[in-house]
Formats: sequence, structure tokens, C-alpha cells
Amino acid sequence: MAKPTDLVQGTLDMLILKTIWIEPRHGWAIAKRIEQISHEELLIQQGSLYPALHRLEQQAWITAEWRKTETGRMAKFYSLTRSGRRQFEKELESWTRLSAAVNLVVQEG
Amino acid sequence: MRVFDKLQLRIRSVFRWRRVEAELQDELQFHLEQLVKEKAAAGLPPIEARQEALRAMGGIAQFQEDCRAMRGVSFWEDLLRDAGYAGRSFTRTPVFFLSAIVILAIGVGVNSAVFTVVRSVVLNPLPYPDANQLVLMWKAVEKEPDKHSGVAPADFLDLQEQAHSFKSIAAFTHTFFDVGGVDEPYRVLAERVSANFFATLGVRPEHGRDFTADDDQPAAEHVAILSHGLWQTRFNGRMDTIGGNVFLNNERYAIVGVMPSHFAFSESGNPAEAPELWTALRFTDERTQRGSGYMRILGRLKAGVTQAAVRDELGSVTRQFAGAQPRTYGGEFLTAIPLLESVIGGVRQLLLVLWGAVICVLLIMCTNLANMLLVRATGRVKELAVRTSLGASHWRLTRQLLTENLALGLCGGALGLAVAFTLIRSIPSMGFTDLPRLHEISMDGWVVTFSLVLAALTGLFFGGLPAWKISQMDPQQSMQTASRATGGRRASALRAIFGAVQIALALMLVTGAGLFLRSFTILQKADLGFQPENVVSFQLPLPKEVQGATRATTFYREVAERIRQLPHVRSVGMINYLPLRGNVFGWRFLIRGQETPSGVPIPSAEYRVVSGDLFSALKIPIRLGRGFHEHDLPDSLPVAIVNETMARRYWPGENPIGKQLRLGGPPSMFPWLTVVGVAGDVRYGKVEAAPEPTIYQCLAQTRGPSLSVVVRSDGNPMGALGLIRSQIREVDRSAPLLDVREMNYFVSIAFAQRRLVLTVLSTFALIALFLATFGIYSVVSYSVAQRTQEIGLRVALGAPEGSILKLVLVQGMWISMAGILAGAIGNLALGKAISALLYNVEPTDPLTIGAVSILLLLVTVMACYFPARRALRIDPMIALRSE
Repeated sequence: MAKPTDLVQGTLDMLILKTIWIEPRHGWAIAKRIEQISHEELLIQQGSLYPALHRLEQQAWITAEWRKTETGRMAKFYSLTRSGRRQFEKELESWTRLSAAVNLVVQEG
Repeated sequence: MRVFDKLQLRIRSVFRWRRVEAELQDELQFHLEQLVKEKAAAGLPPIEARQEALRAMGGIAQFQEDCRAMRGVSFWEDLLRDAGYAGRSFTRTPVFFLSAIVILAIGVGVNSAVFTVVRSVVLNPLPYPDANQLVLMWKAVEKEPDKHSGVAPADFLDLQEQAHSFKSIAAFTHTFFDVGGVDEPYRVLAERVSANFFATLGVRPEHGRDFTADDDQPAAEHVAILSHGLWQTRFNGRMDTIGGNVFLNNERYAIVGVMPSHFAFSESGNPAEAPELWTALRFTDERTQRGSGYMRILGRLKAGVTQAAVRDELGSVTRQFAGAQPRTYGGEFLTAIPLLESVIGGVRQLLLVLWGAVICVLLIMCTNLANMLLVRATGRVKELAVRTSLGASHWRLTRQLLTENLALGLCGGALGLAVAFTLIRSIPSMGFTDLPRLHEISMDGWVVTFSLVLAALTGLFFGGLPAWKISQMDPQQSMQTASRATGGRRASALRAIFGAVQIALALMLVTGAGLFLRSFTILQKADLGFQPENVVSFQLPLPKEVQGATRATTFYREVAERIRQLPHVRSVGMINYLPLRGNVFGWRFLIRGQETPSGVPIPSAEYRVVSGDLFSALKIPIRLGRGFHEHDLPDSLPVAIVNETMARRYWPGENPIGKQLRLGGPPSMFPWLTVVGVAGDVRYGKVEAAPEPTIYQCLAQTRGPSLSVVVRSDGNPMGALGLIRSQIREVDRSAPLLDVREMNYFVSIAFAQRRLVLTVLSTFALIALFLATFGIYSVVSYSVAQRTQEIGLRVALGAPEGSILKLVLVQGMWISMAGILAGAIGNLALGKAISALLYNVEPTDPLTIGAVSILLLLVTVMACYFPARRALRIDPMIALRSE
């Protein structure tokens, strides 16, 4: 599990979980989706994406399945598990609290 | 559920890792394809798009590795791979690994075998339920706490009533029975025991019943319980033995039970002293006897009672006894020791010393092994440096080396177990016959664990040390220097230290063996007080119809007379207990004119009854006065002969001839004896024990016990045996000859244990010496190999042979001297541990230590000689070109 100080890594986990909240996606789609939603502010390195996916899978927060894409190629699709949903809510809550706290500090005076 | 899912994933990752790997490959491939498509869509030509995509992906291998790490299984995968590497490097250098494994196996095997013995004999509880509650009690003398005697029957009964720390208190006493009523009469070592004896130990007979309180009643029928061994050998293991009878000393006993085969109770722990038959005590007139103490007391403590509390209570019981019998309990007190202590007391020190020795051997082996591994690891610097620069982490490399060493250790350990097993199987045939608890020695899970852990740790530590050294090296520097096969200054310093440690340990072992050897030779030269050559002896119990002192005297006199007539027989004598067969018990005695103040224990001496020409048959010299002769008769002056120790101790500076003494404490039932002679000291007990004061009396003037016959002939002592037997048959048809032995047999038995220990220790010492020599050799020869160039240069520049030799020798000598010094210090520290096992030699014996040090120096010179010769033969041209 991500340590509280491990901001970036924890955040990436949260972003991945959020991205597949509605529907299962493969790694490429997850990366593209995050870039797109964040208006290309967040560029996901493959070097951190795949290890993160594998870690989340090992934690049983997401589960993987080989499926055909629209072009007919097999790809590994990740979807949220029930514990993954709970985990996302937990992380979202602590993220909200943290960012609120950070805001308070940086906007003070 | 989540735990379950996770577990499933882990299992999949470990057991289907090929599949998982393929999927990872595919997943990343898909990503790459998408990236290429994207670039192409942006307008790049296909080839460039692909290159661009690959660049954007970065090091695929790297994040494949990261993904693996995330799966948390890379540890296992790496382990498998390392094991694979290990296997490959094993097969690449089989000789190296085989010798390493064999060295380790011998070290671990011998160690585990000795550990098994130590554990089974010293550490394991005795094979009785709650054995730590069992204690032995006896009377000890305040001034000589090592001397103890038994408790009188009446005192035992009082103790049973007065001591409250015990669940039960039982008594037992050794005795011999002549078993009759069979074709071939024989004699058994037996114990008379109180009815609760087996119950106190917590053991039940295997067949039949235990003794009951009724069996102890004076009017009860005589009952006996057999040992399993006796039942098997003499009664053929027949079930109808129980309920049958046995004739012991011409009295009928009903056999009521047979003990289990594993039951072998012997207070001294000596299996040879374990009785084969038990009878109930059945006190009659002994019940009130307080004079002589011959009962051994066994107690089972109540739960939670400490040894100290028991000794306190026995102290207060002693005070009560002392109030009633100041003479007996004046200077003596009751005490208790754990039964285990009594059983193994004699060998604990010995076994621990052997264990120490074997640990030394193991350490030497380990350092040797470490040296070998270090040399090997140094040779691999280049390989490792290459792998480091390709991105392997230090930890990863160290771990690979550790895996190799662990595999090595475990192989060695497994083989070592086999060695240990073989050794343990052969212990019974090694002549350790008087080792306590011999039949309990066996390997158990602990020993197996011990061996494997020992082997693994040995491999890890002594293999890991060089691994760690190597992994610390700077790869770049290593790459440059590797071709010159140097191991760096620190590695060679480590090797020198290993060499010195080996010498130090070898010195300690060889010194220990040397001290034992000195003890042994001194002891062998020790004057036993008699000449065992050409002497045969046997026990000749009185036949049942020969009763009473006069008839016993006549019987033995006639036997002696007939044997003396036989050809080749020089002289014939008889004695109740033979030399070297153990001191029996001290008889109290009074000396006329020397009053013993009250509160001081009355002196005691060994007592021997002799008949015939015993002193000439055993060649015991008469120093003063005369021996016994045929005019010493029941109605003539009662006479005694004393030994030199007794004369010196009780009549210092006086002539003891004509002095008078009487046996037994006051009031004595025995007459005053007049000393008519002084005989030389004879060792009746242990060889190393100083002779006790001894009083001899002749058979005619005593109550006539059974005696052993001693025959000296002028040739093979066993030759006349047939004739002797038939002569005795003439006197009495039923008289059995028991335990027929040459006197030399008892001498060799007396030395057996020491000889065995000496053999084992010398073997260890030789191994150690050999290994240490090899250690020095490998250090010096490696350094010569390293310095080939330097030496070549020196030769090229015209250095004389002597200086080259010196160069090599000095290095070896330094290591050796350092080792000898360290070993000498170690010896001083450990000397105390072995001093109790030595005889007339100090642990600091300068002769031994000097000789051993010189030996080690010589060995060092030898070990340096071959590398030095190699150094001299170095051709400067080749050496300089070899770069």
C-alpha cells in the first residue's frame, strides 16, 4: 500500500483506479485517458504505468482479462474489483483532505 | 476473499511464470504497437515511427524487471536463476566443488556425530518420566566431599519418614548372586531394591508385575525380577519364566516380572555395571542396623522442589541423625545430587573436550573452505565486474554468490549427515564400552536440523565473506586489474588471517592430543604395584555345601595345593577383590593407642582377604616384615599386613610392625590385629587414582568369603587352564570357574577409555595439522602466483636465490608465528578445561607446547617449500611477458 508521503505514486494509483471506474481499459488506453482528461498536463511514463498496474493487480484492487480491442488485437484489459472501489474511495478521501490542507497552507496570508 | 485472490495470483506468478512472462511481453508489445500507430498517424514514415516509439518507451528490459518486482516474486525467480548459475558453475569446476563439499561433509559429519553423542548423553534427560525430579542420596564426608558412602538400612527407613520434599524414597544395594539349579551355574550382578524402586523411577516391568509392599515384608516369599537381557539369554525369552523359580545363592526365588529391554539402570552410568536381576529388600534383622551404610538412596522430588531445598532438608535430617548417633554422623552429612549428574558425571568433561576438539576441526575446515572460495571468487572478479557494468546491482551479485555457497553448504550438509549417521552407527564397535547411556545414542530431528543449519551457515558465512569482499570492489578498477589475477590487498590480508587462525586452532588441538599422549605414557609407566604378565585369574565362589570359615579355608587351601602341583605353575594365591577392579568400600578401623577425637570421622581403609601365596602370585613386594604363612591359624595371633600408603599415613616415621589395629567402628566386633608386614602399594581402583590405605588379612583368620584365584605360570597363563579346571572338579564337582581372564586383560580394560580418547583426539589433531598445512600452502602458493611478475623482475635484476626464498618463507613464517602465538594464548585460556582429564601433566607443560610449536614451524617450512621452489624456477622472460 502506498505510504502517505509517497504522493506521486499514490496519486498515480488513484488516477488509474479512477480511469477504469466506469469501464475496463487496457494500459495504453489508461495512459491516453489520463493525458486527455488532464489536458496533457499529466504524461504517464510507461516505466511507471505498467509496474503500477501490476502492483494494483497483485493487491487485487484491479483484475486483468485478455480481450479483443476494436481493431481485433488481443490486449490486457484492467477492471476494478470491489475492494478496488473501496480503495479508490479511501484514497480519494485522503487526497481531498491532503490537497485541502496543502491549499490552506499555501494560500495563508 | 481478497487474500484468496492475492494468493492465487502469487501462486500463478511462481508456478506459471513462463506464461506470466509471455503475457507481460505481449502487453508491452501491444503498447509499443499503439505508440507506433500514433506516431505514424502523426505523419512519420513507418521506420522512423518505430524508432521514435522505441525511444519513447525507454528501457523495456528495465520496466519488465520493475513489473516483476511488483509481482513480488522476483525474489523466487532470481533464486531459481541463481541456483541455475550455481549448478552451472558447479559443473564447470567439478573438482573444486567436490573437494569443497567433501571438506564440508567431513567437518559437519564429525561435528554432528559428536554433537549427537553429547546431546544423547549429556543434554537429554534420562529415559524416565520427569527424570529431572530424580536424585541420588548418600553420605558425604565433610573434609573429603568427593568421597561418599551409602546409608545404613535403619537410617534409610528414618529418612523415608522424616524427609518431606519427596514423593517417594527408594533404596537399592548391589550384590552378586550365584545362580544355581541349572547345568552351568553362573553369577549375576544384581540389586536388592525396596519395593517402590521401579515405581520411583516411573518404570513398569514389561511382563509380569512390579514388586509390591507385601514383597518387602520379612515373612514374604523371595521374589525376583529379571532384566530383559537375562531373560533372553538364560531363560530363552519364554513367557512361562514368570511364575517359575530361580535359585540364587542356593535359595529359591519366584520370578514375578521382566523389565523392558531399554531399561538399564546404573547409578554410575557404566552399562557394564547395570544389574541383570532385582530382588526385594525384605529387611529382617537389617531393619535396625545403623553401623554400616551400604544402601544407595533414590528419591523422586515433589514437583517444584529445588535441589537447594532438598539439600537444606537433608541437612536438618543429618542434624537429627547426628543427635542420635554422633559417631557416625559427626563429620558426615546426607546430600543429594541429580541422578543425571551421577550417571554422566564421569564423562561430561571428556565429551565436552571432544566436542571442543571437533569444533576446532570444523573451524579449520571452514577457514580452509573460505580460503578456497576466496581464491575462486577472486578469479571471478572480471565476470562480476562485467555483470555490474551491465546493470546488476551489488546486492544481486552478492546474492548470487550467497546462493552458490548456500547450495554448496546444503550439499555438504546432506553428505555430512550421511557421514554422521555412519559414525554413530559404528560407535558401539569403537570400544566406548563404559560410556554411559550408550544405547540411548541416536540422531533426532534436532541433530539433523543442527547439521543442516551448521552446514548452511558455514557455507553462507565463510562463503559470504569473500562474496561480500568481491561485491565491494569498484567494477572499473576490477575490470582493469582482473587480468592480473590479484585479489586486492584486503583479500590477501583476509587469506593470511585465515591461515593464522588455522595454525592457531591446529596448535591447540595438537597440544591437547600431545598432553593426552604424555598423560598416557606417564600412566603406562605408572607402577601398578603388581606384575600382570603370565597370570590368569578367575572367580571361584564357594560351593553351596561348603559353609563356615574353617571349611572355606580348607576348600581354598586344597584347591591351591592341587593347582601348585601342575606343570609350569609358579605360584597360586587368592584374594576377594582383584587389583584394578575397583575399590570396594572403606572399612573403618581403630589403631590401638591413637584415639580419634569425637566429631572426627574414624579412618577407613580398603580391606582384602587373601589366601595362599597371593603376594608372590601377583609379585606384590613385601617391603617390611613378612607375608602370611600356614601358621597363621584361627587360634594363633590374629595378624594383618598393611600397604605402604597406610604405613606412611598412620605411622609416619615409625616402624608399623607390631602395631595393633582392629576393623569396624566402635564398638568393634572384631579382634585386635597385629601388623606383621608392609606390602607394596597396589592400585585396586582406577589406574590414575593414588592407592588407598589397604589392610590385608588371611583367610584362615576371617569369616571366609568367596575368593578369586590368581595363578602365575612360566608361560602362556591360559595353557594350564584345562588342568586347573579338572583339578578343581576333583575337589568339588559343582564349583564354577567364573570370569576367567588373563590379568593383562584387566590392565588393558583399565587403559581402554584413555586409549580411545587418545586415538580420537590424535585423529582430530592430525586432520587439523594436515588442513593447517594445506592452508598455509595455499596462501603462500597463491601469493607466489600473484607475484610472479614481481619475482621475475627481481630475478631479472639479479636477485640471489636466497633472497627470493626468504621473500616466500618470511610470509609463511609470519602467518605461522602469529597463529602459534594466538594458539598458545588460546591454550592458556582453555587449559583448565582439560586439566582434570590429564594425569601428572600440567596443561602448560613446556615440553609439549615447545615440541608442538616446533612441529608447526617445521610444517610451515614444508608448506612454504613447494611454492618457494616454484618461485625460484620462474623464468623472468616468461613472467614479464605473461602480462
